[in-house]
Amino acid sequence: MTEQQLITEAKLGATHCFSQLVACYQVRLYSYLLARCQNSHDADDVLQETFISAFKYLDSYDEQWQFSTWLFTIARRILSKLKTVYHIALDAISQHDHLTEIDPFKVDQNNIWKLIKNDLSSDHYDLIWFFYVEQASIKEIAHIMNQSESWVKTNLHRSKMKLSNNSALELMLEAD
Amino acid sequence: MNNEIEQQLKEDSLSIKSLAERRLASLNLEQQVIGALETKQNSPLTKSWHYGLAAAVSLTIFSWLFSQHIMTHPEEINASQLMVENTLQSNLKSLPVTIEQSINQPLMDEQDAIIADLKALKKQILSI
Repeated sequence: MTEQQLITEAKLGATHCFSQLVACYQVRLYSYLLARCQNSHDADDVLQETFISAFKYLDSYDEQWQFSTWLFTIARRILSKLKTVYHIALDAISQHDHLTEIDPFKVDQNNIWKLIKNDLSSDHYDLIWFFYVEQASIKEIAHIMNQSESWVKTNLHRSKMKLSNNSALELMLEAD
Repeated sequence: MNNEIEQQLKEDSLSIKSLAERRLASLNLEQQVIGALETKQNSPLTKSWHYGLAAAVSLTIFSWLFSQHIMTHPEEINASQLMVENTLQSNLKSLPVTIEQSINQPLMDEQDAIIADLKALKKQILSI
């Protein structure tokens, strides 16, 4: 079945068709969440919640956008709510040594995505991810982030400039 | 942004993707999601507010019919007219509250359950 057929069937309640959609997109979505979240448990929760919400509101999916665009839009909304709920708990344990045990980057401390996390705001981080990793168009990114295309272009440029001026990154790349 | 950084971003995203694939292999996400969806579909919680609303509507209709009966049989109401009017008025006054509770109470119960889960999770995180 094509993706369109899967979506049509899933809208009628065919959960087995929806599970095929989950299988298609889970790696891309989970990769983004692992990079983005403070820990892997949050990423797991948001991942599941995103697909559950996607099924629940499947009737509102607009086919002019890619299905991945819609999933990332939902994921970002859930992430923004998660931050509100968890930031108190995370602040309390931010100095705790055991936090690294659930850090998605624990085996990959020099991963550039970890290094730039403190340098960029969450919006700018997302911009870089969607542009370079997902290779989404400016239009799709604007839809995911609920911003205008000119906002996306301006802030993408700012993010790139910030990364170019990051001396820690420069050193890391020279070391490689 | 220079090409080196761009290249590094793409390369390092592949290692995150490998991590995602490894973790997903043990998560069995599809089954978890489908299981959660089927649980929600069968949950009586989604149907309870329907019963509450139906009860409220029935009460309204019953009250209206009763008042109509009184109006068409005036000889029967002389002795208890005041009592009936008071009863109807109190029923009508309590109607918004009844509807509100029938609709909101399940949602508030769910909210309380979520808060309890979050507190347990916070306790778990702090004990790591």
